Amino acid sequence: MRFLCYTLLSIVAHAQVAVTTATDWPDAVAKAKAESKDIAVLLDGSDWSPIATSFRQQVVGSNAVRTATAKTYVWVTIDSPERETEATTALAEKNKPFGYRPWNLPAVVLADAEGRVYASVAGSEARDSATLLANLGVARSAIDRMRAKLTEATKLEGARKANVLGAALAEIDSKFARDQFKGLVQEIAKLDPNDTTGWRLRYEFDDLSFLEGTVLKLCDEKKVAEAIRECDKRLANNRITPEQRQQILAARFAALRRSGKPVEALNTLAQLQSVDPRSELGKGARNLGIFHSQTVKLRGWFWDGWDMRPDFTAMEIDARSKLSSTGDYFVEFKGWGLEVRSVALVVNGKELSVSESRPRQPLRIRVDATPRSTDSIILRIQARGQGWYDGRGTIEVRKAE
Amino acid sequence: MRCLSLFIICICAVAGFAQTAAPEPGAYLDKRDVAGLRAALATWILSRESQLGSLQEGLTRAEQDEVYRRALAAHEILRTAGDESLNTLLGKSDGIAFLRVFLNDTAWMEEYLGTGWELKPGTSGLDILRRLHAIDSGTNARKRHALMAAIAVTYSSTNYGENLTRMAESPSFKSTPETRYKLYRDAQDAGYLHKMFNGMRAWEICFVVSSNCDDEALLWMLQNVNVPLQRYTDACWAVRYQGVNAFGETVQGPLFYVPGRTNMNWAESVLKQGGVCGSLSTFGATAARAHGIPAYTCGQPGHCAYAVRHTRGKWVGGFGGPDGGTHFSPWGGNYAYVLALEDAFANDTKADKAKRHLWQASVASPMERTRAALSLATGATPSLITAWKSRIELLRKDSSMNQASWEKLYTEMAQSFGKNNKPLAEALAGFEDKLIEKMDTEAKLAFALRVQADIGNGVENWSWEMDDELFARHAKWFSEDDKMRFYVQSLCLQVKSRHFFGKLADWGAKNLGKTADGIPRFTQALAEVVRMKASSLGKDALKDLTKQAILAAEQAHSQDAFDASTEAAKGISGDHGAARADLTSSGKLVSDSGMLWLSTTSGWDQPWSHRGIIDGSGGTFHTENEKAPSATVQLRETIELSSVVIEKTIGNEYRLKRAKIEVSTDGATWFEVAQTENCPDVWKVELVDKAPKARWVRLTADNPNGDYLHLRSFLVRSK
Repeated sequence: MRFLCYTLLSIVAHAQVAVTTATDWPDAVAKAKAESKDIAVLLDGSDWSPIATSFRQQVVGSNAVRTATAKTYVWVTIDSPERETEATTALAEKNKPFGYRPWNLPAVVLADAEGRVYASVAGSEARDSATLLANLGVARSAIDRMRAKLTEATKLEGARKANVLGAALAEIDSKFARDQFKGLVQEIAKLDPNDTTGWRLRYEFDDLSFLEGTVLKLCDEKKVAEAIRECDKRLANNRITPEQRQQILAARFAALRRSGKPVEALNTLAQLQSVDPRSELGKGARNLGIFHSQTVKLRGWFWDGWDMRPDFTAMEIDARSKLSSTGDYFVEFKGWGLEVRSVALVVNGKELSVSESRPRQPLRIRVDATPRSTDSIILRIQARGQGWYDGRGTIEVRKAE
Repeated sequence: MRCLSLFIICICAVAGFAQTAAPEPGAYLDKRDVAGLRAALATWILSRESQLGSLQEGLTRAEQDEVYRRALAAHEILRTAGDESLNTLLGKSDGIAFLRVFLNDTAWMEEYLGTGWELKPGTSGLDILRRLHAIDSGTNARKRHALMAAIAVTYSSTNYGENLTRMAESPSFKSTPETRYKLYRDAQDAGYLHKMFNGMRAWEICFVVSSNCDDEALLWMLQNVNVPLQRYTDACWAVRYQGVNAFGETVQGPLFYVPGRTNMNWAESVLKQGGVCGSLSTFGATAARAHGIPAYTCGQPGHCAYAVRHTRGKWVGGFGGPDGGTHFSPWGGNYAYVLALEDAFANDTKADKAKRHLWQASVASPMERTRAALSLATGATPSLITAWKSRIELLRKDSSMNQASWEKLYTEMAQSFGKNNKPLAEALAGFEDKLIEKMDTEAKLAFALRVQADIGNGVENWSWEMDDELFARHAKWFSEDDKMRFYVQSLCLQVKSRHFFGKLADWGAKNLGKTADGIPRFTQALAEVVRMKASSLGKDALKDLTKQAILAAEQAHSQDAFDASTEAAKGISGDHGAARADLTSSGKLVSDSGMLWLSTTSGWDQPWSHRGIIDGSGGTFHTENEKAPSATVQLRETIELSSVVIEKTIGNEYRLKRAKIEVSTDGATWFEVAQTENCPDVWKVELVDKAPKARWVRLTADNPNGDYLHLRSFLVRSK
């Protein structure tokens, strides 16, 4: 009997869950403050996106999402219609203070009662209510941890307070931490002007400004050693994010390339990759490392931009099919964008015949002995790319008559 | 007897309208006799026309006949494909089957023929259609025919299509006509494309499917950039503007995109690595195209911009577009041709009719018939450039054409092209030699001025060097003295168009040279215009004319014209009193040799004193009431900026409070170097430590409630 009553009560309670909704952003902020809730913004595309319509109706509008978020969020819809009327223009004006506009709609954006955004979920990442709720849950946990630390920080002063504030901000996505919580970042700067905690660098670091305005500028002034020192100084800070570490290492690589230290430059790339091999910078470092150091394996008797390198690099191709009998062979490059220094016949790893590029003289190699079936026959070309590396061409090998 | 006669007459009349069946392609295709099919179709077409009436009447009535339309379209397909590529097509295992279907589908053939792109023999368009037809055929495929036609035409077009095909040979570029077709087909079915895509004709879809990014990039865009239509012109700003990648490689060099090469598609790579105008504009245009929205990128001096189409005829610029040298356009690489295309094809019924008359002209026949067909084609829809070019080419061979008939043709052409002045000027180049052949100087002058008047009524397209392409061409008709007359009268004509006045002013300043006494002829010409207009305009209006010349020079961004005009206006520039404070700052004054322009002008503006604003002697300008009024100083060359001094005019100083100063090296991309919440009466901005590079320096006021901007001085100094 008791169980039945509980069940009935539960059903009634769910049926009566009232979700607080707001008409516009200022209304949402006011209600969020009044009810001590956060704000969930549905960024909609009501008259141009069938996906947005489906997301609104079937995911955000689902009972599961409404029920789960009723106590935590004030919901507001900010629409971006294509058809603009007086009413939509007036509403857009009201919603202008909500400045965060992602490029992928629909989306659900979470903000605190002060209007500071701390999370965003694209509709394409949450095609059902369970996934959306899971994403919201992760965001909610993060902001709760942040708030707990902020509360802790109120009891502290000076650098100690800055330290806890920095740790608090680290709980949420770094792009929101620095852009939306500027007040906190400024407070950290005030409490810890010399950045003894290391948090200031984390929240004030601008990778492009550092690369161009500091590192490359010093390199242009022939102060490469100083540029590298600037990088190392920042790398010593253990508060920076892995991505920032990779950005600083990339800048270090740029300085080392300019200093003519290729080995150290490649080592820096390896360090960068090891920070996070799966990140875009990590993969980029790997690609660059291969690009600058490894022999180019041609995909066929042709080349294009993929094969070109800024410095003379070995390009190799299995030449068994073309150099199958003894005699002299001409090697011709028909195309553009490639500067060839030499070609060589490499049999079982040994260079047997080398021809250096000379004006008005064809490249010529000699096969002295008929290759055995087990021999490895490679044509090795020393070449570098010219111009924009959009050149292409074919490699022709023919017997000299 | 009378009844019998009447009966016989009726029979004859009916027989006259009863058509013989058009040649059936199937029988010829089975025999691989494409030449025979084409000849049979041509014979039948001409016969049908003559059944329906003589010459014009026959052409007009035939165009409305469904069976005739099919035969005509089939003939045009065979003619444009060429025997060689048709025979190759017939050699494919499904070639005959495909052509049997295609040559019997009038609507499909007309979509393929009617994109505006020239179809040349030996190109791969039909073969691409065959391959796409192999993917989807049957009644359900009919709704895809416009898409198929657009892809076939785009991928087989000269230059652009050749480029796409060449890129597809690279393993890194994942796109073929087949994959591109499936991408858009599937996206349309899934509801991912903008609703405008659903009703588009092939000529419009060409602007969608012509993205030179591969399918992976397009798919990524579909999934990651989704905004309302009006935001696609800002979508370029999703990418960070940066000239070096994270590893220090410049975007101007070949290694910029190497790090991201294997990991990401182009769009994602650009988003993560950043870029400059070329990458940003391509990103913005690709984002639109991925969603089935027509777009193009275009070149401008030192810059790449783009445009997105909102509706038929309405192209909205992104990153400085839509004007410029378009990278994809069937009639010519300029925005002017896109506008002409839109006008020509605006009305489906008229455009289709015009195209059919144009195809009629391609059927080999006596000149009289061809002439009539082309005349119908050019009359059916405005601005049909291809028809006009063919018509002019034909008439040049017609010995019956005389001066009067050439003039009549020009009148008809001017009416047809309307505001599309650049295509008009180019088409005129095709026969103006014939037109003026027997004219004396006065007649030539009258005609040249008539053309100037027609041009002045048209589109103000800044990327068209009207002065060099048209005015200079006509100026060659005259002796030096008569050239000056022509120039002065043209200036008078263009007074009402600040844009063309500015273009002419620029040309005059550069090309008219000096008199024996060393006086710039342009200044003389300007003085002559003032004199000529004096009797009709009065004293104040004369001042206005000089003001016009300076504003025109500013709008044209013409340093030479600005120098000459402000020099000419020296006597009326007025005294603007002493500076309100010391205006010295670090560096060497460079703005004095530059020029100035404003976001808007107003009745209180004093252009005669604009020189004084930038050379330290003081002047005044006055914009309209705006939310973000601005003033821009253009320097002679890029400098390292040392300082900027802004001096307010005396009175109403409160109007300039919140403001920013930005610099640019390309005239399109701006970087903020200083900002103030409460601009002082003299705002000195010292930048010698940073020394940012600048060719342009811009002050913009921030007035949420709108206000005017007026200054006494805007001085720029270099390091």
